[in-house]
Amino acid sequence: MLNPCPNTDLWYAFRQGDRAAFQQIYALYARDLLNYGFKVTRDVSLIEDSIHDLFIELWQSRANLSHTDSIRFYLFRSLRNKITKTRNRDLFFQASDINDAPMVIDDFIIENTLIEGEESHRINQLLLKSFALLTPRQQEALNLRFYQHFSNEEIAQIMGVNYQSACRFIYAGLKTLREVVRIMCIGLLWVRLEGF
Amino acid sequence: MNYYLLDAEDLAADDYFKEWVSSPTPDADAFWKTFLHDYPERYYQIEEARQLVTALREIQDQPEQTARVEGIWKRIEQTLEPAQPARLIQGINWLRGWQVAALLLMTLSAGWLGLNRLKGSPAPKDGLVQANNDWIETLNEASQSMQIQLADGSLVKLLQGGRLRYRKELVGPQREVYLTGEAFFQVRKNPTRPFIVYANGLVTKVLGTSFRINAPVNASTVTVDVKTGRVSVYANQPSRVQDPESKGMVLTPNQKAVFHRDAATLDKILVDSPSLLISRKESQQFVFEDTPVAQIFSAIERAYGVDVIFDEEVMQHCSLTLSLDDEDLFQKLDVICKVLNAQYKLIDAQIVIYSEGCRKSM
Repeated sequence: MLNPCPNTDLWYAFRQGDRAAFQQIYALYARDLLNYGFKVTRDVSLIEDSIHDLFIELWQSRANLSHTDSIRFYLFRSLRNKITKTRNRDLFFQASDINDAPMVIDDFIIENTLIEGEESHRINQLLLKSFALLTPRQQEALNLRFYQHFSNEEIAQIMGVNYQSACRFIYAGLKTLREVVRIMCIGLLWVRLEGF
Repeated sequence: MNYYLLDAEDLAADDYFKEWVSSPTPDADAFWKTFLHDYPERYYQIEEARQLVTALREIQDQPEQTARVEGIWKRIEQTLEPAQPARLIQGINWLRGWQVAALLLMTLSAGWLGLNRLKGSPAPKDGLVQANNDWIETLNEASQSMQIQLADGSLVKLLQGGRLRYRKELVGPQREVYLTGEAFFQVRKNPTRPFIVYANGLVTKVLGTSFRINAPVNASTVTVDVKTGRVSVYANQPSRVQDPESKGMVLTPNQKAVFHRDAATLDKILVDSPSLLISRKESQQFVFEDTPVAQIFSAIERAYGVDVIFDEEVMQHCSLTLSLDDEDLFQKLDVICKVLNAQYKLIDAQIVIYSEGCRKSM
C-alpha cells in the first residue's frame, strides 16, 4: 500500500486519550518524518525538537481533531512549518538564501550501503550524487513524491507553495536525474566496449 | 493520457506509472505490457522512468534511525509527565520532575523578563515556547484596567501593567491561567473543573468565586484577597510525596493570604478593609441597644466572615449600644474597644479581644 491510511480504530482510540494508541501512531510515522526532516534541514537537533513538539501538540489537541483528518498529511505539513518557522528566526539562515546553501552529502553517501558491482546499483550511486546537487526544494519535493508518496497537490500544501511550483520542482529534478541516467547508460556501454 | 508522447521524466512524474513501479497490480502490469507490445520503440523511455522511480525511492532511504526514533519518544513521554505546570514550559523538555518545578519557580520569580530573554535567544529550542499556539498572553499597557472574558465565562479585571496568560479554549481538566501584576477574578462556578491561577510561585485554586491577586513582577510578596467564596492557596512546589495543596491554606471572604516568595511561606490576615458580607437590608437590622458583647461579636462574625475571639466569662457583664451599618470593621472595633476599655489584635485573620471585663451593671 502506497499511502498507509490511518487505521481508523487507532485514530479513534488516540482521540479518546489512549496513550498506547498515541505511541503506535508515533511508531508508524516517526521514521518517515525524520527522513523527511533531513530533506528540509541538516540540523538534527532542530528536526528532533520539531518532531517532539509536533507530537506534544498532537496529544494536547487530540480532543479538537476530527476523525476525517489525514494524520499523515497533517504531520508532514506541521513538521515543515515548525522547522521553517524556527529556522527563519535563526540569523544564520537569514543571512543566506536557503536554495544556495550547500548540502553536506558525504555522510549521506557513506551511510547508504549499496552493494557495489551491479549496474543498477552503480546507477543508483550516481543518481545519489546527482540528487545531492539538486536544489533543496527539488530534493524535498522528490522525497515527498517518490519516497513518501504524496500527491502533487499535497506536496504543494506541505511545502507551502502553489501547485505549479510543486510540479515544477518535481519535473525539473526528474529531468536532471534522467539525463544522468542516460549518460550513465552510455558510459556503461562504453566501459563494456573498452573491455573487449 | 497518451503515454506515447511522454518522455522518461514525464512518465516518472505520472501517478499511474509511479504506482505501477512502486506497487504493481495485475491490471497495471497488463496495461504496460500491452503498451510496450504496441510501441516497442518507447522501451527506453519506460526503462529510464522505471529506473528513476525505483532509484529515487531507494536513495531516499535514510540509514537506521531506530535510536533517534526511540530517543525522541522518550523525550515526548517525559514532557507528558503529569506535572501540570510543566505545560507552560514544555519547550524546556529535557528537565523533569522537581527540576521542572524549580525551573518554573525560577522563571516566575525572575518575572516574565526571564522568559522574554529566553524567547529572544537564537537557540532553536526557544521556538517551542512560542509555538504553543493556543495560549494567549495579554499585557495591559493602558492606563486603565482591562476586562477580559475567558472562554468559560469567567471575568478577569486586569489592572495596569498586569500580564495574563491563558488558553483560548481553557481546555483540559483544569482551567489554568498565569498572572503577574494585579487582577481581580470573578470565576464562573464549575465544581468539576477547578480554576487555577499561577502567580509568582503561588497557586490559587478555586471552584467559583471572586478574589483579587496582586503579584507585581519584582515584589517579594504575592497577595490574594478573597471577596466571595472559598479559595485555596499554596506554594507552587510540586511534590510526588505530598499534595502541595495540603501545605497551603483555605481563605474565606475578607481574608487575605500573603505569600513570601523568598521563604515560600504563607500568612493569613484580614483584607485591608473588610466589606459587609450580608445585604445592606440585613445589616440595618443589626442595631443593638445595651446588648451583651457576645451577641454583638457573633453579629460581627456573621457580617464580616471573621472570627472574633474573646473571653466570654471575663466579658459576661459587658454590653454595648451600637449599629453595624456603614462603618468599616476596624473603625467599629476601635469604637468598641474604646467604650469597653479593651484592646484588639489581628492574629491569623482572627480578631482577638483583650479585656479586663466590665462591672456588673446595676
